[in-house]
Amino acid sequence: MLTALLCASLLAPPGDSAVLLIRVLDVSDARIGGDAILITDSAGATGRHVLIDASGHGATVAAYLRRFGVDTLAAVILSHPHADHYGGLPVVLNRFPVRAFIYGGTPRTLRTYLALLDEIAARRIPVVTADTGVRTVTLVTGADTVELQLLAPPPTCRQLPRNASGDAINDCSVGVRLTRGAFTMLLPGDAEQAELGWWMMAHPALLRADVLKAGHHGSANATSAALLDVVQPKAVAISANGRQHPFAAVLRLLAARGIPTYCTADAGTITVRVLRNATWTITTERAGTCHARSQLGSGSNP
Amino acid sequence: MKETHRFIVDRHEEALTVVEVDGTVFLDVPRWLLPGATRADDVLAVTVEAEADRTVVTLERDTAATARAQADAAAAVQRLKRRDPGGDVRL
Repeated sequence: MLTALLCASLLAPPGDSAVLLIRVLDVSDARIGGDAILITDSAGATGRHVLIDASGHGATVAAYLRRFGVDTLAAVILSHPHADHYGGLPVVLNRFPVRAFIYGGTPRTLRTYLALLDEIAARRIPVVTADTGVRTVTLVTGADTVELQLLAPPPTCRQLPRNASGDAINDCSVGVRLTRGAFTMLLPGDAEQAELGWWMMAHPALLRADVLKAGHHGSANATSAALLDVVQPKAVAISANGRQHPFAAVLRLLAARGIPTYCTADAGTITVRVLRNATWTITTERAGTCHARSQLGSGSNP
Repeated sequence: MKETHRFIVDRHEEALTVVEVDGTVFLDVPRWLLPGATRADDVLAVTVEAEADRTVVTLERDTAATARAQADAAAAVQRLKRRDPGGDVRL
């Protein structure tokens, strides 16, 4: 019964009570998992949508977008250029009009990535390169306003990161701080300690959030006690592929602080529902407690 | 029968490395299979010589191709950057 209610809430049309929905989509079926987060502001006659990342499997994400009534994306934000975040974008671009493309401007040699950038240019999609400071994207829907503050990666990301482990790309994530009234949510991409530490020094006030989408799929190198001290989340969502992620150390840390934690690999799509009065709830597609997939305390997974 | 292919390294994951194969699909390969100095964004030239009872696969870091790909990547980012008016955005 509970599962049925949760499923019903997920499938509810986006026209109820000027709700803002942030759906951390379950893309754990994709071979390499990744992130895909759909933001829907339903304050207007029709919902307006922003997609952050498209996992490595575009067909899965496109099916979600259809299911949730998306016909156009007001913006697509690419957190960072790893294939488990951008790999699904070509399918999304082919199936949905996209009004703006936002990314960090980090170059990569991968042909699929260059083809994606060429496709965006060919379609003449307006581009926001969030490579410096903090830029704000304001999504206005009816009388409602949602602010997305884009936390740029460090300046070194404007060059090709050269790091033996390849992890430098994670530390070139564009962070997103979503604000709607008094509600805030932080979506740091795959940022790890180096970039998170840089943001903590540069913009500590912007990291405070009611809900945290855990960085790097629940790896220990992206969720630390120091970060939780700054963010002070009341709930955490983890987009994990269910193989390496999430890490046991992260789940232990969150449990020790009594922070409710939801994992896509165990509970399916996670939906944060924010009402106009800033009250918010979290529901999941099915019942499921987070289970660690790795006992590692740190790691270099994507 | 000799074939040539091209890997580009997306990232390392513990004992695995994710590579882009011929600009199309992604494949997990054991990290030990790759040249020791392999890094993210490297282009690897892959040569395959298949016979009835054995296949010889050679993976070689192609520094010249990597340099060309890096230049292409930087140019692609710059092309998009020129289309960004800057500042805050209202959607």
